[in-house]
Amino acid sequence: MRLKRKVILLVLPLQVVVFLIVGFIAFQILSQAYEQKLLGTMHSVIKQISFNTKTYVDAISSNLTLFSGSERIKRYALATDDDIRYSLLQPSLLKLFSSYQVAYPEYYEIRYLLMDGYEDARISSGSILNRYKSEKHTDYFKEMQSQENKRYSGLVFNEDTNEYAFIFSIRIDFKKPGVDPVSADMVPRGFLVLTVDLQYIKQQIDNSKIGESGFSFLVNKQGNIVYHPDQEKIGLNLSSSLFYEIQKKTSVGEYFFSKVDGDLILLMGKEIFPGLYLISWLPETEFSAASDKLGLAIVLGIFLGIVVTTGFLYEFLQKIIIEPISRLKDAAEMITQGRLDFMIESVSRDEIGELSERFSEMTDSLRASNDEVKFLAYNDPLTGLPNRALFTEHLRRSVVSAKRYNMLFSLFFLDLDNFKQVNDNLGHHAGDELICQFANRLRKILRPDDVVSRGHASVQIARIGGDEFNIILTDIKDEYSSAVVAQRILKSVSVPFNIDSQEIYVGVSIGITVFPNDGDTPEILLRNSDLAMYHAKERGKNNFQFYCHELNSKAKMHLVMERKLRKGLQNRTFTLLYQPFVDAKTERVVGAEALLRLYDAEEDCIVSPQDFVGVAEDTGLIVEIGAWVVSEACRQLKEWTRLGVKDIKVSVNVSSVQFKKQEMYSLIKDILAFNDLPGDFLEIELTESSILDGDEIVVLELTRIKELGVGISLDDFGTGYSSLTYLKRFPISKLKIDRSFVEDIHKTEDGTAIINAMIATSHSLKLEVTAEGVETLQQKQYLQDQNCDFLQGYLFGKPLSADEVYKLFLPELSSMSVPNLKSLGS
Amino acid sequence: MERFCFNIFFIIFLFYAHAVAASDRSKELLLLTWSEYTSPEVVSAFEKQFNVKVNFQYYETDHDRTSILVNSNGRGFDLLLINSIDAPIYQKNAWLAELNLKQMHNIKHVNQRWRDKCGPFSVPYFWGTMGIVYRTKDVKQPIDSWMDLFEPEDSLKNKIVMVRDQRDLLGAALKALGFSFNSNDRDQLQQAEELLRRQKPFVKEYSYPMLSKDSALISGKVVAAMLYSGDVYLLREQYDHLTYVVPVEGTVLWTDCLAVAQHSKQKELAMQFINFINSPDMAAIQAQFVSYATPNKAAEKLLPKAFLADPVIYPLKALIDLSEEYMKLSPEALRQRNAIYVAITQ
Repeated sequence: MRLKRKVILLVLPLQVVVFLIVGFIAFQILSQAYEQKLLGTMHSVIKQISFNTKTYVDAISSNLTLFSGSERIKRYALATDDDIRYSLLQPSLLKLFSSYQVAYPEYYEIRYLLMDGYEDARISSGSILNRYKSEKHTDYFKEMQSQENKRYSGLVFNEDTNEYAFIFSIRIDFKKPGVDPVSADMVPRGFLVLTVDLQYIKQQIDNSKIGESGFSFLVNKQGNIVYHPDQEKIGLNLSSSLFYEIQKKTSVGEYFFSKVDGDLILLMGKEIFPGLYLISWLPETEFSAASDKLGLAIVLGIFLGIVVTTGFLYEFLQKIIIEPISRLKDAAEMITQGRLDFMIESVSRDEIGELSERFSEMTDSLRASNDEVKFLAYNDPLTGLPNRALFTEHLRRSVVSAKRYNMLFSLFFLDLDNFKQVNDNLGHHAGDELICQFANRLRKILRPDDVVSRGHASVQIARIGGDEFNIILTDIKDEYSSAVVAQRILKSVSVPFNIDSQEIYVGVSIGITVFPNDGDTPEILLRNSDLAMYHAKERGKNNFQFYCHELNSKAKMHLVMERKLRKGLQNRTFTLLYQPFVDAKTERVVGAEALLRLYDAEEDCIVSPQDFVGVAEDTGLIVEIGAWVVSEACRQLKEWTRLGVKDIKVSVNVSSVQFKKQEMYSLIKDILAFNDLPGDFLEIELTESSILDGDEIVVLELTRIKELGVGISLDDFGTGYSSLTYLKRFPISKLKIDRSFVEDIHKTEDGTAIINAMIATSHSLKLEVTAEGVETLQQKQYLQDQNCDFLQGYLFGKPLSADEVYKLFLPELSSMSVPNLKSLGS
Repeated sequence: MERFCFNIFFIIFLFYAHAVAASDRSKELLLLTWSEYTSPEVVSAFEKQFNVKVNFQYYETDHDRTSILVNSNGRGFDLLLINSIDAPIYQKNAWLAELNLKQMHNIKHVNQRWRDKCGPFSVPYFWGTMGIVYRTKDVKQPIDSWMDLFEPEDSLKNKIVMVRDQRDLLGAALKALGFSFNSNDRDQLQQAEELLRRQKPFVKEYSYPMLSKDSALISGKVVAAMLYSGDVYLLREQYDHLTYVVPVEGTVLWTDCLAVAQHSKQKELAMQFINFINSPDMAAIQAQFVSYATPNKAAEKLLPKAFLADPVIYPLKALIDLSEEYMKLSPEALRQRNAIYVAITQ
């Protein structure tokens, strides 16, 4: 069961119990209060109506007294003559009655009755017909007559109106006129009678509801219902037993329950007028209905209360217990899924907070051991290198990435030669040791920086079997870069391994495949590199083989050239030739470009830079060679200056690789200082392409070199794609227009125009211009016309040895040098 | 204190002033009568001759007059204009003074036939009929019977004035039903009551039309009314298109009488007034002023032929034959009539 549900199951019953208790108490109190209220209402209805009735009756009674005192009534009562009585006095009396009735419309009948009950004068409101002329047979009149008291009041059923009414009467007594008033007896003359409707009381009854279903009604002394809010009940009879009970209890003013037609009714009554009972009637269902209603309200309240408080409690528990636990649970689930890269947040300082912290710590240690497991899974425990599984993944990624970025990469398959013998002879321990040492050597020599690449090189080494290794070189510049790396590996094993104080020689056979030429899937690449490795084994072991045989021969030539370069450096068979250049205005030789040549002793020939610069750059030999060039040029310059040559410049070509691999500034500065030469004797030449992708470091280096006074010229200008404006970024002082443009002079209009534009623009950028490859007088003349600064070419001299060019520097010779040189060049 | 003294003096002054005024106008007569029923010319002649001031108090109906007298118990008046049927009752109730006929020599001109009607305590004043007046232009059918008035055309709703007098109101209804004006019959009276109830929606008021220019008959608020014959002439002075008819069922022939009040302090002078107005020339002036038939034989001789031939004043014999005079009613009928009257008019 979920914790959430448990919490609810714990909280809910508690809530329910508490609310039920509170609800039950509230119900008891409220229903009692309601009962009391109903009884109070009942009581006050009875009291109020009874009081009002008494006040009303008293008012009628006193009005009657007032009316009876009227002089007109007296005169009328005393009139003995019919003519006078009826002609003169009765209209006046009726008028008086009428005026009473205007004031008291509820006195709907006002009469003067003679002593025999004869209705002598009568007015009634509206058109109430008078049924009987004489009242002498009516009960109330008999009572009136028989009474000692001159007043009478009672409840009668008026047959004229079919309604109950109050009758109030007063006897009119007068002494006989004309007799001594002292001795005369009072003689009764008639009755003044008011008939009053019950409207006043009826209204009060109609307006007095008791609770929802309670009401009051009037009953006469026979138990007849005189008035009832329900009109149909009027005239019905109450059961005599009930009426008897009511009469009995009303005298005490108590309420009581009685069963009427099967329903339990609460009753209370009072005689509010002689013979008229007011009864309040309240069905017991009123109480139970109210209780039901109240109960429903309380149940609803309880329900709402439970919902709300449970909600709050649940929310609270959720926040402080369930959510943190749930977070831990989620964390545990993540751990189960092997994901450990998460943080457990713990804010509370309670036990759960502590649990979170412990959990966190546990996760950390789990993460560490997991990392270890992972490492073991993907790495060779002996060497720490990736194993086959991881390597396969690397390879797969390399393929994807090389495809996407259109790059070359090569895959090496290495197998130690004769490893089995080492194992067999020296034991597995020695074998393992050998593997370790070999792996370390690989690591050492295969740093990404050591690989000639296009900039994003990476090296992945993996041990995939006993003595088998794989290497991926990504983003290589060309296939030969791989060859260089392979050569380096071979070289690294040429040094013996020291195992258990024994020197052990092992070879390594390397098979190389290059993506995408030798295969574009990991499987094909692997298979082919394996094949290439076996090929290497067949070729006598301890060598490398490309899967592509063509590459093998090229790589071989590459290696040959590398050897020649090393040998050249070693044996100092490099030499510098100098091609002079002249000031275009004076046509005087003002300097020379140093050109590198390699003497190949084996072949007995001169190798030109085009054939070896690529290999020199791939192998890094360019650094050594370049340094030699600068130092040799400076040495020569120094010698020339000693011989008295002044104001010349020697320019040397510098490869961009040099800038990447060594600090050119320091080198130049040191060499100049060594030879005690001012910088302005020296000029370095860079190709356009070598600085195109030049970064800020190159710019900075160049700037510092320029500060030494060394000139910086841009070689082969025009072959690249850079605009002059772009070149402004670089601290260039001179441009050398490529010979191809000079050749075009007078050949094509475009060529001529381009030369013009180049010179003009260079000047506007305050750059000097040298034109290369000037071979004809026409070209010379044109360039001079265009204010080209310097001219270089066979017209002024081919590359010469130091001694030969020296002669051209000499002032006395310089004037005649041109024709000579010309004849020499052609 | 000052103010109190002032009040005292003021009150004393008032008493004094009143006393002086009373002595100055010691000769005053107060006549309780109908309005427009005495010729001002005759009155001023009398006043001049006897150095007396004659004052009038008017009543609207016979019933009014009785009420006034019942309330004052007949006190406060010198002369009472009553009708022939009330005369004996008033006399019985001791409201009328005995006449000293020796000093009233003009009484001899009065026709004995009318004198018999008024009895010994009063002198005939005028006689006439009770009829119907209506605005000729405002009815579709000319009215010529009581029934036309009791069951009128619809346009007369709330446009009729019925007289506020028990005897005349019930009498007219009885007459319309073909019964006697003086019926004592319980059933007939009950039928009359029914008829009166049915008529009620048409009745604007139970009263008597004003005879001045403010009369509702002249403004048109009332189209038909019960009227004593001669009054139509007064109304016609304001508005010509009025017709007076004596209903075809017949009507009541009334006789008005002038009496001296029993409680009058100046009975002599009051009797002189009766005597004065009964001189032939005065009686003729009176008759022409009120346009009623005079019981004074000597005066008749002084009246123009046209006056004497006017059927409004002197109804045709056929109608007189159909008509009745007021008769004494039984107490039972009186009680019933009173009750009906109160029920209808309240």
